[in-house]
Amino acid sequence: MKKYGFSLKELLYINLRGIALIFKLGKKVPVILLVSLTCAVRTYWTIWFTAILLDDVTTGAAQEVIIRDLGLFVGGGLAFSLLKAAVDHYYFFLGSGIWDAANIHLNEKILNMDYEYLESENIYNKRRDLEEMAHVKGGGGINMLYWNLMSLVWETVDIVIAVVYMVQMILKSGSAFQGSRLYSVGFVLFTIVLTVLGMRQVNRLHKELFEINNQMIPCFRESGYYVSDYLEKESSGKSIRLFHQQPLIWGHMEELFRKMCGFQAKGFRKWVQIDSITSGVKNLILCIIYFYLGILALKGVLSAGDIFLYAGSLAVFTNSFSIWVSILTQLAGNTKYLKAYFDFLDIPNKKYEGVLPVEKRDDNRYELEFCNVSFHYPGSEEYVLKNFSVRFRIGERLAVVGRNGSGKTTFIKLLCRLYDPTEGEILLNGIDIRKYDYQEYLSLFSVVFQDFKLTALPLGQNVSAAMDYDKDKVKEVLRRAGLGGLLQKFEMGQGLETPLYTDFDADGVDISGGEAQKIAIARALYHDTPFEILDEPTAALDPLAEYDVYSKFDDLVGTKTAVYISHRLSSCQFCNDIIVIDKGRVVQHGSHEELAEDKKGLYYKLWNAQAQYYQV
Amino acid sequence: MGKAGSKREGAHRMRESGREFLALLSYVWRWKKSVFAMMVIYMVSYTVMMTLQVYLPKAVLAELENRQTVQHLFMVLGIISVFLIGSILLSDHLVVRLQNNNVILQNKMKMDYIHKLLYTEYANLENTEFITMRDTAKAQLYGGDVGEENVSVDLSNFLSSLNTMLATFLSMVFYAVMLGRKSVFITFVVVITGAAIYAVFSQSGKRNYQYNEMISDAWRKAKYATDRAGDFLMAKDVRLYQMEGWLTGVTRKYVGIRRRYKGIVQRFDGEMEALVGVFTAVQRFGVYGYLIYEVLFYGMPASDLVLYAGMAEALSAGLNECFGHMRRIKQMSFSFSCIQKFLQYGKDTQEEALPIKKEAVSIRLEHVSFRFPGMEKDILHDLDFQVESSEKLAVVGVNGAGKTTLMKLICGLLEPTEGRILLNGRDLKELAPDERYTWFSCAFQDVSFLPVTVKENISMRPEQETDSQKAAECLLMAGIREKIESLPKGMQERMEKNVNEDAVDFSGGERQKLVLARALYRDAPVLILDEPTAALDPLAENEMYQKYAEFAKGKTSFFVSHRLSSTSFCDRILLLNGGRVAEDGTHQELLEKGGLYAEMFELQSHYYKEGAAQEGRLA
Repeated sequence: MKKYGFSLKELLYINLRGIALIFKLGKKVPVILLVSLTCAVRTYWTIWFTAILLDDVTTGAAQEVIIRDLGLFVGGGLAFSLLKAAVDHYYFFLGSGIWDAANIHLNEKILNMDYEYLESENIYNKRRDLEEMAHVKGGGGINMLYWNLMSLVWETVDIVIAVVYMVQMILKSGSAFQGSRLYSVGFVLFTIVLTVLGMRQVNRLHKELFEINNQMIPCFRESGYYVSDYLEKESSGKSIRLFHQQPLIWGHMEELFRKMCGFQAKGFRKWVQIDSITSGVKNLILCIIYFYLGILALKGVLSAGDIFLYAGSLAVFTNSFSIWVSILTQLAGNTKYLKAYFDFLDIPNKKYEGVLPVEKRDDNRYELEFCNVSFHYPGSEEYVLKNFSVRFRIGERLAVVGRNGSGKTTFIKLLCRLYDPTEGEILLNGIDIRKYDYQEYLSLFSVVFQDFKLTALPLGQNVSAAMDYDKDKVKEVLRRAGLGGLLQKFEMGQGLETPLYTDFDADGVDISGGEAQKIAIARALYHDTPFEILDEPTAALDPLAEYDVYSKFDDLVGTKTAVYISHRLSSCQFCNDIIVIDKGRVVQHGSHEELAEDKKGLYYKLWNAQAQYYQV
Repeated sequence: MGKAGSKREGAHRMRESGREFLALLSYVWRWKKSVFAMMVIYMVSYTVMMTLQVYLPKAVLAELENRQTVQHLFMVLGIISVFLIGSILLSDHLVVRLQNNNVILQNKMKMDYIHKLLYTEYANLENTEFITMRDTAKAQLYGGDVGEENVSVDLSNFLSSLNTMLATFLSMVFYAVMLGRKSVFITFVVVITGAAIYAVFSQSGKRNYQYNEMISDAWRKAKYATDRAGDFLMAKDVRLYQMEGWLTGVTRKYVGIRRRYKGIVQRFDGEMEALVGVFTAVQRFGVYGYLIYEVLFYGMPASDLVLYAGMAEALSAGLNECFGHMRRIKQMSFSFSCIQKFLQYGKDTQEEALPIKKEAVSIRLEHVSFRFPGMEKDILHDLDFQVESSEKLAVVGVNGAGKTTLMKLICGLLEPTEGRILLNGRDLKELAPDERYTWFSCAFQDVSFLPVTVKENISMRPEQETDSQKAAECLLMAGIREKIESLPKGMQERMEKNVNEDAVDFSGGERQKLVLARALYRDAPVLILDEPTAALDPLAENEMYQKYAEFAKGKTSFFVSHRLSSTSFCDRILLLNGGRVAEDGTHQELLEKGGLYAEMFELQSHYYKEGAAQEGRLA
């Protein structure tokens, strides 16, 4: 029988793996759980002593005995509440650590995953499912398992004790009905059957509710997009007003509103049933318990205290049992989140990683060559690069030009081994790059990607990509990248420790797109690697700033080998070597002068498209 | 003195809270009066239910004491259970019904919030005061950040809180009277210890407040660093610059800080709870001690002991609950007032759709200056120029010169701080914002799309009001028709992947072309294009320049760019620098003038001249 899409074995296995992970992340958790076993008894303390005191007064026990029992009742109760306070809050404290640790665990996985996974839609969706799991009330996955673990322990203990008392009552009741215990057995069975029937009904309703909630997810997603990603933004704010989008959006929102209220009403009807069945059954049983125990007492089998004791423990039973079942239901529903989490962690890295160290050279004489490389993205048949061969000349600048979508950026991705070629090979000093240690190979490159990302962490950390950095070197590269002015502005604040933007820290400083691009260039310079790769580094710069970067290009790159991609063909003039890519193939290769001669070539067309406006 | 001051402040705050609470109540009252009827019924049924639950064990014991028959027991319990279960079913039903109403109420408030964002003046979207109020209101409605550290109060429990508070209050009064009739002493003990417990809780709330601020700050920072580490879009930079150590390091640092404060708070909370345990013990000792004394020395029946002990426990628990809900309601009323303040902020625009204008337009700026409220310097200063109808104007300048702000002023998104903008001689300010917009077709640099079909994103109208033919033509003019037609569903393809799983992803250049198509579809007399070629390759860029004359035919048009090549197909060039018009004239005039424009043009064309390569390399 499949429950929540899992067999019983899978349910057990996944949850046990979850518990094992919790124990691994929080070493003290098992100890606390053991201690908390004692706390579970506290529910019975009140029942026991109310019963004892009741018997004391009805049977006329000695004053000292009564005082002793009262003292035990109050004192023991106090001791338990102290213990519970300690256990509870310590468990709470540990819990926040579990949440963090589970997140860090996940991120370490993402940080070390094969890059190609991160551009795959499949993995992206898995990641988004994990995000959504955080939105489940109380946080799904490991978190939900953790928060239910302690209650699960307590309720189990309470149920076990209740069962013991039920057996005792059955044994005692024999004398009431001419030695037959059948009535009691029947009575206990009756209450259990009633409880179980009620629970089954409730379970069914919960499942229906679960379905309704699932149907609501797309609504939440859509309204979330509007509220957080659309309405707030300046960019959409402009379109909303200038294009009079209001009626269109408002119509959608009203429809969503109606839909959600519809689901809500459906869910509401389920909730009414669930609550009515749960508390109806619980209280019906309570009344029946009292009636039955009352009969036994009237027959003189039970004392006043006994009524209290057995009624109390039976009430605990029905109560604990329903909580117990609802915890298990919740955990069963939670299993899919746990599985998603583990599945994500279990994604294997496919990329072959060699162990060959990269030879350290002070003269930066690294030779790179693409040999007949063809490539298509995983899951796609269409070749982005085809029979691509190019050899980098050491210490020289290579310009890569071509139209949008011609494969320029893919070429960079292969160069940095974010992807491996489908066919052919890339050689470093004559050896296939796959044979090198991956981290060492990567450390040969500094790249300013077209869609580079900075973080809202401090400026100095952004440039160095580390928490501790060489301050003077950071300042130097910022000045070289043309950010002397910004540096001066920052010196008045917290210097290099000034956070960028305000997402991380409200005291952060906003920077313009052009400044961000220069910081990304500074970051590449700071890392001072043999290869510098710049993908459209001047797209956000105005003519003055662009000229600044161009004119300093040689200085910026120094003796390194550089690859330069740009839509501004003027940049080609710096590069001794230009390749023109069209539809994934190298169609032209040569110096500017050579290529500009070929009036039929793509290069000539591209160059002229821009240059015509500047020929005065 | 300070104390008296804080007292006065406290009294003021109390009155304020009272007003906020009444405002929220009257909002609910205007919305649905039946909610209050439900609450009244609930008060009664809750009191009946609670009383019967306490009375049940006493009834059984009394039967035993009076040695009644089984039939009698059956009758008594039968009556009790009918009423008990009846009142429970009624109460549960009302609770869930109120909860459902609460969700609808909250959705209604969310719709108010959305309506505000749709119809508030554009300038507010760039106004920090407005943004702060918006974020507060949003946190109240949608909850704060996801996760364990969700500190903001949302309004999802207002009705049930109010309901529970009222019901517990009524039942408490009932118990207090019942207990008081038996013994003033017990009532006294319960109320005093109850008050002490409340004091402990509110004290701990106050002390935790400062730590909670620090905890959520550390949490936010840790979350930021974690999110970056898990951000797929960052992955390339993360790998190339080996940022794992850095991002994990920052995360661990703030996780550590949070953990430290969290430890303090949890220990303190534990101590407080222990203290509550002590008060509870005192209360029990007083109550049971007194009742046992009564039984032993004054012959009170044991069944009464059970009854009164039960009532005392219920009273004490009720006190706690009542105070707790009061505190929450106070916070919710405050949340509500934040939302209301946000909704009432600034002006809203009208709602009716106006037809798009067709007549020719001339625009005149008279000494226009602009700055955002609270800024020290003008972004634009004393702009004074005229644009004739059907004139094609190029607006150039370095980054931060104020080009985009000028465009926002001209199309009426922002209003000048000083001076006037005249559209065919009429002051833009005199027109309602909605009417201003009917003159303009704009494509700004920052683009965003709705999660609807491509076609609807072009027309900005629902499917049935869209002219497919015209949409297709505009796509062709914008140079993206081929791509759209290659999609399986063509123009019916939906956009925005984060909402529609089957949506198409468009590249930056394609998105820019779509925005252009949208502006063309609108076909208003003034065309504004802000950096429309930034993401295009040279051939596509050139193609766009070639077609520009066609787009702008018969229109007054603005072409904003920092590529100076754009000036060649415009009638006139306006060079902005530092928020002022630095130069104004034709390409030839400005070159001859030898000013900033000439310098910029020289720089940009430098590397397009033959022979510059060697020169560049040698330099």
